Amino acid sequence: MHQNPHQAFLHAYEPLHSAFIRYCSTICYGIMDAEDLAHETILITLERYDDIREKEKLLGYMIAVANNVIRNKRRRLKFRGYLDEEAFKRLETKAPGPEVALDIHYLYQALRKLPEKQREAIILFEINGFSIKEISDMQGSSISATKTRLSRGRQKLKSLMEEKVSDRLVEAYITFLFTLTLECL
Amino acid sequence: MKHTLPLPETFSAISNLPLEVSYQQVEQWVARIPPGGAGLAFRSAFWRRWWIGGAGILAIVGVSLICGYYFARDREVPHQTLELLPELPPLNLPPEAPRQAAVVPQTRIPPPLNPVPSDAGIAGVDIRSFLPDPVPDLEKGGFEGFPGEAAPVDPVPLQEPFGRKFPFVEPMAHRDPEAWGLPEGWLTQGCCLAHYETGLTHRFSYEGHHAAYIRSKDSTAKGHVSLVHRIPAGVFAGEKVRLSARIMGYDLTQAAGLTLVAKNKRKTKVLARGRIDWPLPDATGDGWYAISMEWEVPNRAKYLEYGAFLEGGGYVFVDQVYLERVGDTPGQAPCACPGVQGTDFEILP
Repeated sequence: MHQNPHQAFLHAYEPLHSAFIRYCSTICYGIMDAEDLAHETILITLERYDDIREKEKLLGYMIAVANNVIRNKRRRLKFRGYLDEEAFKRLETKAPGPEVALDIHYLYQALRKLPEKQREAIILFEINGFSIKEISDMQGSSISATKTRLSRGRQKLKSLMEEKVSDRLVEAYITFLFTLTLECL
Repeated sequence: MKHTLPLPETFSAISNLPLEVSYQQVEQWVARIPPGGAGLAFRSAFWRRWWIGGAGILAIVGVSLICGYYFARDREVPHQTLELLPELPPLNLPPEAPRQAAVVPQTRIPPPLNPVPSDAGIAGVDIRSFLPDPVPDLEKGGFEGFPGEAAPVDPVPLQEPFGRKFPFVEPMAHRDPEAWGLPEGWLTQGCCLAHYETGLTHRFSYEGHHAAYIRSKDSTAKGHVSLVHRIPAGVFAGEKVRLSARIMGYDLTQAAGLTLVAKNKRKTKVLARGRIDWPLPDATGDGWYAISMEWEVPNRAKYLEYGAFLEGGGYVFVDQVYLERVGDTPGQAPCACPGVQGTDFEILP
């Protein structure tokens, strides 16, 4: 039994750290720094840690807090626009190659267009590797509902990505023509 | 041919990205937080409540100010420039014209035993000795009549509900104008009425035998009383009118003069107010002053109230109060035509 609530929190948080940070990195792309989001979420969670009844659902609680923080941030960014360029520069330094970074960039942008529950389910399932049962526990819904969310999310993601790819092809074709014209001149 | 991104590969690439925040970093964050609070998040949560409370208070104050502004705007009253005429222009009143006066039992007003000549002035004379004695104690049951007379029966409340402007409204049941010898339609209204007394006196008059008066029972009285005649605005609405009277003051501590008020249909909202103060420096009672004011009556006015007022302590006597339209043809009697209103407070047998 941990006397200090900070130690108790850290003890419960340690196995969830990787999944939580990956979730934060995914949802905050172009909106705010993952570090800021994680910091703010941890502070809020720590403030109310004693009030959390089911400590085993800590990750679900922190994800909900992070979603609220992001929602507030997006509401403010509505008048300023997203910070995609800065985020992409940072992503390029971490990704194995520029093509992969570009793919991840487009995937993040497409994820941003999904409904909140679908996005959450996709990230937890595809990126963090949680099972459908765990996701349904976290989201407080049934297994079939989670499956439906995943299925619809994937379909929508595919259609969004196809649009992105066709845009990319058009861009590449125009760039090629422009370069060819310059060389001819 | 459709081109699609390799979704599973992209997802796995995301999973293999290095973490942006290490666990040690989180440990440092948690270690920095004092046990009693969690830094900015706590403080912001704490201050957020105060901000919400402050914003709520500000909203309430703002709404109150806006409501007060609109309320005060409706009650906005233009002030009239003071004017003290050296001599009142003569009113063409034919002697045979019928007078506007109430039928008052002669027993209420004792006949003048020793009237003071109006042109003699009252300098150096204690005016209080000429007034009915003893002064009716209004707080102990109202007017009890002159010595040897019965009290007035069945008093009628004539005081209008004036509570919005004057918070201390007193019933005027004991101030039946007939009991005090005032003509019909004349009202006494104002604030702290228990400290004042209005009526007719035969001791002073400009011409004739009677004049109306307002007096404070105590020289330190702080209220204000007006003795006014309320009439339907009628032909005066939208016209320029002249209110004229003879007025005399004594022992005034604040102000006395003529008042002219236009009211709406419910007689509650003052649409405009004209007022002329009696000159305060000359408070020794040199005699009667001719005083007059001209004023535009608003079109919306439904009722007019004209008469005299007294603020603070002292005595004020008023006689020959007339309200007429400016530019009316001369020769019209006060009550024979609708263009002239007024009275000289003479009691007709």
